[in-house]
Amino acid sequence: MSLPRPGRVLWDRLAALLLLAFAVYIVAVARQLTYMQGRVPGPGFAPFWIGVGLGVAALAILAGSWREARSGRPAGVQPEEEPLPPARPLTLVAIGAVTIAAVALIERVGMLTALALVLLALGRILGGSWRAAVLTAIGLPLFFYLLFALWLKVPLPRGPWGF
Amino acid sequence: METLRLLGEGFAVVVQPLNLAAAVAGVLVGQLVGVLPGIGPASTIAILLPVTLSLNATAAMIMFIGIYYGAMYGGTITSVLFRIPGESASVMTTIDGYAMARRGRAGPALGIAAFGSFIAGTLGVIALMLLAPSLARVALAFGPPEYATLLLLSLSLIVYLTGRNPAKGAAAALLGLWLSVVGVDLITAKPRFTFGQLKLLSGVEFVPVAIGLFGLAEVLLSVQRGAAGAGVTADLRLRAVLPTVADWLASRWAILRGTLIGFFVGMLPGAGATAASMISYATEKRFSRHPERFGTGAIEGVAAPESANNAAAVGAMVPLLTLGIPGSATTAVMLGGLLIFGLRPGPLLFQEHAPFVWGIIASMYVSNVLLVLLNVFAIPAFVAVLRLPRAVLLPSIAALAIIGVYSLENSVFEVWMALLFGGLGYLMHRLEYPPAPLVLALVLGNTFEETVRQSLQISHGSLAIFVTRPLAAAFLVLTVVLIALPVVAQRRQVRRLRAVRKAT
Repeated sequence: MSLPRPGRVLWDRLAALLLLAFAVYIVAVARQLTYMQGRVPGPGFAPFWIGVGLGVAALAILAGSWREARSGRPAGVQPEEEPLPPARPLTLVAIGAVTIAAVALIERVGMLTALALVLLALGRILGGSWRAAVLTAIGLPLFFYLLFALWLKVPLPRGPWGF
Repeated sequence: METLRLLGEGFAVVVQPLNLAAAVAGVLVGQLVGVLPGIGPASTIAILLPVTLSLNATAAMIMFIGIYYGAMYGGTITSVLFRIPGESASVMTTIDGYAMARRGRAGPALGIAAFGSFIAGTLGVIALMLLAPSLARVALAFGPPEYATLLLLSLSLIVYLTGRNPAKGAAAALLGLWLSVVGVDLITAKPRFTFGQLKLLSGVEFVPVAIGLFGLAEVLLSVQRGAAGAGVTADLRLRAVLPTVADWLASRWAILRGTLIGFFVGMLPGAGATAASMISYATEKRFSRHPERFGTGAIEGVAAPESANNAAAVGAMVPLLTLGIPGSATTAVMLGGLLIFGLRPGPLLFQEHAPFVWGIIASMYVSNVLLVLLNVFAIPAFVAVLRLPRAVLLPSIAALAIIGVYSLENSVFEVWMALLFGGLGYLMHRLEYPPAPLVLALVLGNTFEETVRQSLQISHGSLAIFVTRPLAAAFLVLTVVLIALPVVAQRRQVRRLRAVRKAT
C-alpha cells in the first residue's frame, strides 16, 4: 500500500516531524503533572515515558528515511502487497466533505435524514445510478429505524419533520 | 473427564435459541465480509459492537467468533475465483488457488479449503480446550510485575510483527498508549490531555477509535482500490466442490502441518492468521518433493494456508481468554467489546465465568460445522454477493458505522471521534503505519499503567522488582531481545551494503 517514491520519502519525513513535535508536546504537558508521588509513580509518569518513546520512534523513522534515500532501497522488509492505485483525491475529498456535512447536520435534520443524504451523495459519487442511490437512501434508513429506534430503543435525533 | 463435563455444559449454553441465532448470524456475516474484499473481521466486529450491546456477553462473543471464523472461510472464495484476497489471511491462497481455478479446478480448490479449514478449526478447538485451562492456572500466579512485563512483551511483539518498519509500529503503539492515558487519572483524579472537553474526562472511548481506524478507513481505502475484476467462471455444484481421493492424499499432511503451525503462530501476539498462512505455505513448499509445482495450481498450496489461518484464529483465543491479551486487531476489538460488557478476560474468567468460557468454546465447534456446510453447499450464493455494486455497499457501511457509533452514548461527539480516526486510519495506511498496534495499546494501556504503578508500589519505587522475579525478568529479557533485533539487523544490512560498495 505504499505511496510512489520519492513522494513517499517526503511524506514520511513530514509525518515523522509531526510525531516528533507531538512527542515534545506530550512531554511538556507530562512535566506539569506530578511525576512521582513519594515513591509511587504519579499521573505524569506514564505520559512522560510515552512522549519520550514517541520522540525516539519519530527520530528512528527520520533516520530510516535518510538511510533509505541514500541507499535507494526502502527501509525494512520488502513489500508483499500490491501497491494501491494512485489516490483519487477529488473523490476522497468529496466523500469526506459529504460525510462531515451530514454529521454536522444530524442534530438539525435528524439522524435518518442525515444518513439518507450520506447514502444518496456517496452512492452518486461512487458512480452508482440515481435509481440505486435513491432506493438505498430510502430503504436503509428505514431498516435502521426498525433496528435502532424500535428494537434497540436508541433515541435518534429527529428533524423538524418528526423523523 | 472434567473437561468433557464442562464442554457438555458449554454445548447446553450454545443450543439456547439466542446463542444459536448469534452463531448463525455470526458465521453468515463473517462469510460475507470474508467474501467482500477490503472489509475485514476487525472492522465488522467494531461496526456491529453497538448493535450487539443489546444482547448478553455470551451471545455477543459467540457472534464475534462466528464472524472471525466465517471471514477466514469466506476470504478463500475471492482468492480462488478472482485472485483478490477477500481478507489478508487469504493472500497466500491466491497463488495456487487462482492457478487451480484457471485450470478448471476451482471446485476442488474451494472444497479442500473448506474441509481443511474444518479439520484445522476443530483440532484447534481441541488444543485450545486442553491448553487454555492449564495456562489460566499458571497465569493465576501472576502478580502486577509479571503482568506489566508480559504486556510490554506483547506490545513489542505486535510492533515487531505487524508492518514492515518497526519504528512506525512503535509510533502507532505509543500513540495508542497516549490515547489510553487521556482522561481523569484513576489514582489521583487529575485530568490528563482532556483539551477542556468534558466528554474526554472519562477517557477516549474504544469503539469510535476502532470503527474509525478499521471501518471508515477501510471504506476510503476500498474506494481507492477500485472494483474487483470479472474473475474465473467455474462449476461450483456440489459434485465439483468435493475433493477427489487423490486431492485428499495430496493435502493430508499439508492440512495437519498447517493446523499445527497456525495454532502456535496464532497464539503469538501480532503474528496472527496472515503470518500463519504465509509460514505454512513456505513450509509446505520446502517439504514438498516437487516444489516447482507450487504456483502452478498445487492443491497443497491451498490446503496449507487455509488450514493455518483457521487454526490461527482459534490459537489467538488462547492468550485472549487466559491472559486477557489480544494478539491481533480482531481479538483486540473483541476484548474491547468484552470490557464494555463488564467481563475482564484473564485467568479468573475460567473460574468465575465458566459457562461463558465453555459456551464460546462449544460455539466454535458449532460454527465450524455451520461453515463447512455453507462452504460446500452455498458458494454460488456468496459469489453472487460480489455483484452487489460498491456504490451501494460502501455508503451502507459508512451509514451503519455512523448510526452505530451514535447509539453507543446517544451523542454526536463519538461520531466526530470516529470520523477523526477514520481520516487518521486512512493516512496511517497510506504512510504504512500499522493500525493494529494503536488499537491494541489503547485497549491494554490502562492495565499496563496500572500494573506498572502497582509493581512500583509493592517495591517502594524500586525498578529491581521487574528483574528479581524470574518470570518478569524472562519477559523483560525477551522484550529487550525483540527491540534489539531490528537494530542489529539494520546494522548488518548497512555493513553489507558498505562492503558491496567497497568491492565495486
